[in-house]
Amino acid sequence: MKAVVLRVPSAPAFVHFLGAHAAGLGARAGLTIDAIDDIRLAIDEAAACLLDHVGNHSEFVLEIMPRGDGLEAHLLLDGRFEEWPPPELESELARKVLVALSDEVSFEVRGDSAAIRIFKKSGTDL
Amino acid sequence: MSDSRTADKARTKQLLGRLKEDPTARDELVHLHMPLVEYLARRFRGRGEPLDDLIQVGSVGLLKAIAGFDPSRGLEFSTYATPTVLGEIKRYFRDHAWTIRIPRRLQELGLSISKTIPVMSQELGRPPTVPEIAQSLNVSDEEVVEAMEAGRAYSPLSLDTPAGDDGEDQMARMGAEDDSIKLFEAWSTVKSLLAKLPVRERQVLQLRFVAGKTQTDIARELGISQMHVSRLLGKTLTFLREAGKDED
Repeated sequence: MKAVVLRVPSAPAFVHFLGAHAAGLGARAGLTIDAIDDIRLAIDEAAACLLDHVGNHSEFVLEIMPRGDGLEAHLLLDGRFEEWPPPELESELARKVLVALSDEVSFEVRGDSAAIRIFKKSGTDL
Repeated sequence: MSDSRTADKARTKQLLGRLKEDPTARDELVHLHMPLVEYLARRFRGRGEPLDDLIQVGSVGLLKAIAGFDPSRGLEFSTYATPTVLGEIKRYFRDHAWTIRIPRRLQELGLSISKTIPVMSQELGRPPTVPEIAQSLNVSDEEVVEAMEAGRAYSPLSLDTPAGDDGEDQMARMGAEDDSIKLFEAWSTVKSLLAKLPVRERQVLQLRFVAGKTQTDIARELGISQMHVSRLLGKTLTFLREAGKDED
């Protein structure tokens, strides 16, 4: 599987498209069903988090690619933000959920976009 | 017509006439017509929604009918109320349209997948992948993905379900009271919202996010399917996000 890029409007109605897309790719990449659901929920949470802090003035870009024994997802959103991640995110539920669901999570700035990077292992290692 | 129905009709007429000046008349009208709501709600049983939820939705229709009834038009109240109650229940299903439009083949495949997952998890020592499930059931990967997506659309979380209505035995067995406290501590920013969740939803959150168990482990522990755990987690996290915004 090569890298796949999905662009959707940055509106709450499209958040579930992102999660469902990530889950579909997770299924094809050989993730276990638990790992698939974790990445789906993590992408939903990341999208909602970006909408809350960055706003809904542009579009989401979701890049998903295989990496080692798993799947890496980068969710980007252009918008107006002074600082990313904002300090208050540290104590927010969104961060706790993302950390719990992902094997790696980081908050990054890419160009004019706020980004959340998530890595999920396939879960097939015993 | 039976004497009791005749008496009910007469009482209904009296109550409707007193609605404006007597606040108790509305309550008595609701009480008098709840059997009608229950009868209509039962016609929608077996479509993936709990009967209690349908009765609750139908009650909203009954209240609307009481508010909108005009005795001068010469209709019987029950004749007027029936389409209003049915309309409210149908609207509820329409708002969750995907819950009742899942093709039968996908429903059946979804059931097979639900049964297969615990067996395969036991055999493999980990949750299965989609290709493994597909091979086991002799269907394509795409069909498994499709059925699992359809399965996620089934039975949305009822946010009106009162906390504590479900899983009391489980709670006692697992000592979930203490575990809920752990969840409240860990997620203090949404403490008030957690208290509004039914016990089962809180248990699933606690097991996944505080105890760090996998969905398959949680399913085994609670005696429900992995797909059910997945649905509960998705709906509950969405609820916490949305309700959290309303509270801000």
